[in-house]
Amino acid sequence: MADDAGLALNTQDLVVEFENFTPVRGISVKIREGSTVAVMGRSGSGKSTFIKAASGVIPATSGEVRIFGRLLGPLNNRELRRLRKVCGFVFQDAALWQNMSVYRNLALPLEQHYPELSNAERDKKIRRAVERIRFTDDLNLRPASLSAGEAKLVAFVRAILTEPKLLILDEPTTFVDRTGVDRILSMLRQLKDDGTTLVVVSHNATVVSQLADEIIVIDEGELLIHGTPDRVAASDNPVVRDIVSDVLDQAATFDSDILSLLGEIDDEG
Amino acid sequence: MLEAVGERVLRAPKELLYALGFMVEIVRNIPAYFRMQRRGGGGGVLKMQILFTGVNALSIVAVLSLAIGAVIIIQGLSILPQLGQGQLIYTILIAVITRELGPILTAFIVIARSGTAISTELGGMVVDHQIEAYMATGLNPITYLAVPRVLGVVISLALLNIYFNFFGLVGSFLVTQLVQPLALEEYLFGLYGSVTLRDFIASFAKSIVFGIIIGSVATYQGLSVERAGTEVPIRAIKAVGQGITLTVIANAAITLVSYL
Amino acid sequence: MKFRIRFATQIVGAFTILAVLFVIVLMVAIGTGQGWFEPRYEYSTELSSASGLNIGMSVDFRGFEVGRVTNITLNEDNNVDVTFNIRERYVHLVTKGSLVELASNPILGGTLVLHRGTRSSEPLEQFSVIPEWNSQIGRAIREVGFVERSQPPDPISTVLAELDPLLASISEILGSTELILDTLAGTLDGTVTEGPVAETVAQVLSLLSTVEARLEQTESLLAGSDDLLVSVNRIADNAAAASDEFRDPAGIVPRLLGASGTLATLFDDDNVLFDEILDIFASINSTLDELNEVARFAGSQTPQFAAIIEEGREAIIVGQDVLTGLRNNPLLRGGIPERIDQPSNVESFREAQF
Repeated sequence: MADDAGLALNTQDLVVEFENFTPVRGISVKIREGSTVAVMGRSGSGKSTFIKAASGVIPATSGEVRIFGRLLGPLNNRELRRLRKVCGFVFQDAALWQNMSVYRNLALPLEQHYPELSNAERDKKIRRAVERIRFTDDLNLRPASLSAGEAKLVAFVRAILTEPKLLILDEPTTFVDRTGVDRILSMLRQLKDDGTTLVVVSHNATVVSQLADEIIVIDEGELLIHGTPDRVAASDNPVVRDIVSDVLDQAATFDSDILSLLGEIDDEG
Repeated sequence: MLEAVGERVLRAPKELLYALGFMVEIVRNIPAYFRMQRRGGGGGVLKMQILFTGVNALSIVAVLSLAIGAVIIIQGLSILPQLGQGQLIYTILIAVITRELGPILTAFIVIARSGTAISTELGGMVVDHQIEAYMATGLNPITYLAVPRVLGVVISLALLNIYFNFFGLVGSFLVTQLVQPLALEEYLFGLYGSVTLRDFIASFAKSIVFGIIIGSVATYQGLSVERAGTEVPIRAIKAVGQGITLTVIANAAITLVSYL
Repeated sequence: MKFRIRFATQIVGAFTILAVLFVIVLMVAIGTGQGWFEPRYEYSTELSSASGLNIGMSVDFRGFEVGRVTNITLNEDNNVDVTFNIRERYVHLVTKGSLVELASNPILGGTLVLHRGTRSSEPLEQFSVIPEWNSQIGRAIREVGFVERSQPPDPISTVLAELDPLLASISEILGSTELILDTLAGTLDGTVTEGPVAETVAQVLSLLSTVEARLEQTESLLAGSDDLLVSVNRIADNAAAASDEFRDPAGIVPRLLGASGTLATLFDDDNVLFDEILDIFASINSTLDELNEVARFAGSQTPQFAAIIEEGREAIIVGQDVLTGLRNNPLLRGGIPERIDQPSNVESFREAQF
């Protein structure tokens, strides 16, 4: 499809239905390769379910999902693996595998996607990534003994270790302390510079305001608006305003210099 | 009320079909599991499953089969000679221990211990999104989680059945010595005379089938948890109920077929 | 617990290897015991009925399993072709003159018993037909003594197998006795002036010797078995006594015939002879009653026993009637008294269901 050229993620009338409610009711979005998109919405708006379905982590009830032009759905194990290599996912609650050590949690995706790596190379890669987020605990611990914030950092490392071209993050900064957020932020910025497409669900004003090229606002399972931060900020939909202004206000309060910087960029653009 | 019954009836075949499909999916994924094992993945799940399901259940299996074997011998030796049919004791021992109780009692023990454990563990993994994390990493949960558990249950059950036979036939002989001494040669000779290859095959086939049933039901119920932690115990109870029901039905079917 | 997890691989390995070892040892032990790894030679036989026979049934020799029944089919002559195999180490038992016999009883099921031929020590070729014990060829082989009867597997089958020819002989004797009595009566009436009395009596005597031989055989077979068969033993004793009396040189038959071979003696010595004959018949009758009991115990499978016994009893009743008639001969006494018929439980030998 010609339309799909240059698109990292493309959903068409995506619907997710559970037994007694429908969190996603027909969302169509196109996300360009290399862009960074913030997905926003109130709690329970269906944004988490949407990005899970959009990345194929949970099955869609109806509608289409294409990741780099490839239609999700009838994939066999090998195709699924290939797709997973290009599409990383960070879960809101870390979702570390409790039955293995932190180290194994990090090593397993590498073994899965880079079977050609030797044990030493894999070990080196893991040590380096752990160093970058300054995770200092024993890697042989079980995830259950980590704090929520540490677990989140490990989950983040697990997702980026395999160097995906599309990284989807569900609230990567909740439970993480301020220095942790800074580290995640700097790594995300670097990923962005390297051309990784980022889709971030976040309420964190700093993350949104510093990184997002585009903002998607979802409410009650439907897409309210998809556009540049300016366009979204300018929306006269009261719900959009409510959600976004809150973020922008927070951003102004906590990080005014970055906001002004963002403003300068916008001015130039 | 009417509606509820109707709905249940209509849903039952659909669920059964889905469960059967799941079982087929597990069997279909066994080669994928071994490919993954060769690549060095899999992380010893199979080994741990055999340790927990097989080795750790050995003591209870041993006690159970010792007691049952001893009871059969003692009862048999006190009743059968009165009818002039002392030799029948061996036929009865083989029929009861090898063909029937061996497979089914070990199956019950495994359902109670590991069926619940597996469905609870997998259910918990669903609840805190670990399954989704496997999906996101490109690891098929069936291949990575269900297959080694089912295989572990199958292997453990077959091995436990052998141990059940060992303790039931050999161990119970020792117990009997305390009550009613019997020459070992006489006992072994009697057993040799009554056992057939068919008995072994029937017993082994039962263990394999029961293992597939128990493993599939437990993993299926575990993975059927949708979101809430409260679903986990409900699914574990279902795993036990369905496991026992299906095992008993399969047992009757295999016994029937093996005597045709 | 920690220990188990650290050495999980070793423990699981040991767990598996032990179980597999146990199975292998058991398989080898049972396999060699039952001859799984031993070549087997195939033979066949023909039986009149497959009842009590099934595939997988053991072929026994003196209580040892020497082979197994492998196939049963109904052939064109409505007989049953039975294929069975014999383990290599026992194949020397299958020689010229060997017979097989289906020994089945309702309680224990059955076995195919192999009887060793004594004609040569050379084993029969594979796929040979081994005659059945009671078949014509089987009887012929037994008569010339080319076969050695092996220990039957259980007393009940033995008794049943032995009773069958015994009853047949008794029935034959009774038939002949009836003939003698008829001739006697005819002679007395004057309707038969010179009959084959001597011939008939000689026939009876030879039959009696057969019966006696059979009874001895039965007795020796039954010698080992205990309480279950006491009554059968007693029957055999009774019958032997009766037979002895018949054969006694000073006994009834010579006396019946008299020194001159006439029937004069019948009218002498105050009915002593009549009474003796009646006693003998009474004892045979009671013997038959007891046999009837045994036959009933042996099960409904064998209605022919009951029928034969019933027929024998009828013959005796006729004999008794004739003798009573003789005693009450109008020349000496007067008339045949009214008899109250005992109801028979089997209509006749021919009507009995087989």
